[in-house]
Amino acid sequence: MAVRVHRHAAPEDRTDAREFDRGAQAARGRPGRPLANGREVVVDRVGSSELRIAELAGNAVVRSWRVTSETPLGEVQLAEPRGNELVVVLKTYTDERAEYVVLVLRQRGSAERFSVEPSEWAESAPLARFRLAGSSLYQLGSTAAGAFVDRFDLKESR
Amino acid sequence: MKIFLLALGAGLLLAGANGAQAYHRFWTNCNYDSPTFMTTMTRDAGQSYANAARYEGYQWRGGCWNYDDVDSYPSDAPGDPSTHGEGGDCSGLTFKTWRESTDQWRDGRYYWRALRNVHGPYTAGDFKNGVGAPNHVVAKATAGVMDAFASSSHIGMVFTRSLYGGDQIVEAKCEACGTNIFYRTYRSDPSYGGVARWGWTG
Repeated sequence: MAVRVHRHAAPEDRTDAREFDRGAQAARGRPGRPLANGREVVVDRVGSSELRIAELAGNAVVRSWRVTSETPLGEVQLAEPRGNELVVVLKTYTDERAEYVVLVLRQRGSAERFSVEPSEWAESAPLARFRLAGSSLYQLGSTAAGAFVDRFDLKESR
Repeated sequence: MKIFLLALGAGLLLAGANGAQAYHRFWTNCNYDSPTFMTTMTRDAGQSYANAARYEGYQWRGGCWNYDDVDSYPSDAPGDPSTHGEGGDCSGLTFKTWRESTDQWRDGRYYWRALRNVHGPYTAGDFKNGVGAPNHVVAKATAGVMDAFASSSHIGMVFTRSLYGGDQIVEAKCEACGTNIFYRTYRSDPSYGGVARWGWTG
């Protein structure tokens, strides 16, 4: 199979670009992840067994969830709205094992949940393993044989 | 022709000698002083010590750096201790930050200055297995500031825990990435175990 590589135009040379000083960086920093509708998603892990997730509009909490687990919680790979739902991918771990848990959260709890094998033979950027596109959740994984992308089709949002 | 070949041989030998000399560079600034025995060792002092080693580079099996925030010899050949560049490697940085002794049976606190060239007796895998009197294994969920996560090939210390479940890890990562603080998810990675130093006094 032939692989075609398309070359994109190089971005405009911005020789006047300057890095903000530390104060300016801190002033512009936001704790939440901005969404296309102007809102933000904020994630706060409390201890090793509780996660709090909120969608904010300005300084007001529009909706929020609290996730608890008997197994310690690791990093949150993804927290992204999909319609009136919020898709969360978090990691649970013990000293010997780990797995990703996918939660589709609605107003009254989780509408869907399933576990995903980590498949992390190769190191990657820490929070770059999952992407949501429409109703499909993609996972970047790797084994000794190579890298792969798995797709998980989520139930239709109501 | 014979003269030409002799000259060519001599030239190649001289070129080789120059290359060897180029590999005794940063370590000429380093010393081998005795460490200072300390009665205290706080976690915030550990943070300060490791934080000061940021930007100073990475050297496989190394443990010597200054405080000018520049890797004096970047882009050395990876995995080659004879390059004698600036910086520690992952286990060397941990060893010095944790104020350990080169004798594995000693669990006292030994302060090593930055330019003291010492790597210590432990590999990352040794730390992972809790080898040495000052070291022990801990549950990953309980690992806190200045505890560490170690695999068979790497170790990094917890600088702070992060909101999103990962950790800010201070580590000497690789020749290209140097020594710095990075967001990592070692805590939930099954190839990493939790390790810690006995003897923190605060």
